[in-house]
Amino acid sequence: MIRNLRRDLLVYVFLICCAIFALGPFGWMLLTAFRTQIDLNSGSVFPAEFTVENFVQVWQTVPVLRYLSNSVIVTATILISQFFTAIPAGFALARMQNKRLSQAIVWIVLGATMVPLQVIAVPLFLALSKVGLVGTLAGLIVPFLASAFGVYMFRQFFLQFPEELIEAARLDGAGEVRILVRIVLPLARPTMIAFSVFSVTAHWNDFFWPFFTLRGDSAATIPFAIARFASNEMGTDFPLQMASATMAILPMVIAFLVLQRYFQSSILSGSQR
Amino acid sequence: MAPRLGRAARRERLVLTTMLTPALALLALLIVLPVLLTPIFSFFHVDLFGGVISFVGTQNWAAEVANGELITGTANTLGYALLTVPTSLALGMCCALAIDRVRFARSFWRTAFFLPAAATLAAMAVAWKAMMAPGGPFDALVGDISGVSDWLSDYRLALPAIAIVGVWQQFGYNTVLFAAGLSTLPREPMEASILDGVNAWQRFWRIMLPMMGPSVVFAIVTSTMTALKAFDQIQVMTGGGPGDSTRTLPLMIYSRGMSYLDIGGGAVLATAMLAIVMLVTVWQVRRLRHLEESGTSR
Repeated sequence: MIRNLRRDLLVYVFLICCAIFALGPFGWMLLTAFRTQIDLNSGSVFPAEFTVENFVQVWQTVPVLRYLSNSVIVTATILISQFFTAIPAGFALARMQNKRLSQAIVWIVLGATMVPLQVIAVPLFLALSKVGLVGTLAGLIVPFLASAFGVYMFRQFFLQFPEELIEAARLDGAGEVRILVRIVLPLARPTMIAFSVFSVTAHWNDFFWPFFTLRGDSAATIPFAIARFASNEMGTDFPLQMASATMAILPMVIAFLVLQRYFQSSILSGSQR
Repeated sequence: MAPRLGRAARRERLVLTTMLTPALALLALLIVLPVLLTPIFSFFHVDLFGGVISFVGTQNWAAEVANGELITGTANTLGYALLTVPTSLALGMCCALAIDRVRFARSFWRTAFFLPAAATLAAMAVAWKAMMAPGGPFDALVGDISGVSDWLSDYRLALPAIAIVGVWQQFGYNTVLFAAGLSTLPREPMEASILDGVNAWQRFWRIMLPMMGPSVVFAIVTSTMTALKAFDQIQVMTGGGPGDSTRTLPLMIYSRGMSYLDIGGGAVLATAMLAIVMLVTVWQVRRLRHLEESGTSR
């Protein structure tokens, strides 16, 4: 009994250490965002007094709302386009009569999910600059109009879809499109949510592609804007930087805390290959 | 099939083809074609301003070997992966096992550990950089113990410092994966092994881990891919420095292709990265096939 208790205690100590590791940076960032630089330099861990001056200053010097709306436009357009391409494609792949052809396509799609953006960034950049999209919001959207992972995920869902329901609809004279929209999609909601979480997290947080293609500020999304702000403007004004970082992570952190279980189901649906 | 169904079947095929085309055309144009072009570009010189493309044989490769980028970049990328992947997998597994054991606040732990994976990494890298600045909390905690402060300015410790951020970001993801894998394990073999007097250590390696096969393979592959692609925290925290000590292939692809406008040289580095990724993919496919044949898959 006592041995078990001691072991449980060790497990809790371990978990608490891991939680401090995971949450510590958030805590320090938040504390620092609410204090003055002089107060930080005094060396004490906790602030002598709280101030919202840093947030006010970030808000006044930086077009926060423009970055936010850029991020929303980019992420939403990508998601909508990925839905409109991946759902029909996944449906068609699951229902094709020619199994060898569909299997061959699935292998290509799976291969495409493995390709890191970094590998293809230079040819993509050259192509975008040829058509004059570099540095624009469209340039941040076009490379991601279709998602290989999305096609695969929806195909997996449609494969498991009960054949009887589809047959019944067909006997009633429904065509493929109507079957997809009226019967299959309403039941695909969990898959659609899981895919949305995957896509939105990836593209909202994406820093590499904006960094690769943007030079100016006009199409800046939040990750790009925050990194620029922190490196260019305020060299070591940490409280100001932390205020801007706090504002930058807020949308994703709130989304995660509200939609947690969907985040977890999104990861797990990825592992079900 | 009866001939009068011929027309309906043909119509159905047309509809399915139409559904398939937009996605496949976009993927071919945006992923497959660039992947094929990357190794080809590595044998060409691309003059962006003149718009001239000329074949130069292995000249770009020779240049990337001579200037040390190919070797340094590959070594740094693999070094970063070696520092982060085993650590985040082991930590993730320990956390999943710990959560499985405790009864108090089970969902809190998972939320706490996963938060770093959801939060915008570029922004959190700004916070980490400030924490690791001289005199910051990182020096107060780790610098004093290790005897070296200001890790980010140290040639040997900058990559490990960044790897800490990589582990911080990845381990909660692995925790969630493993926790789900653990919860699907059948109880009987475990109870039988306890009765047979198998200790916890052996039980984990001989029974639990093999039964979690597919989710372990998936976690290894995802963590490795994340490590190979790591960019945000490196660019924000060190920009590749000090010297070249944290310049991994993704950072070099950027500086070659974008700063020096050396498309051929960038293509050499991208091809090296592609080769590493292909090795990981082949390993994954073979491993999953092996699991399927030995009957331990799900």
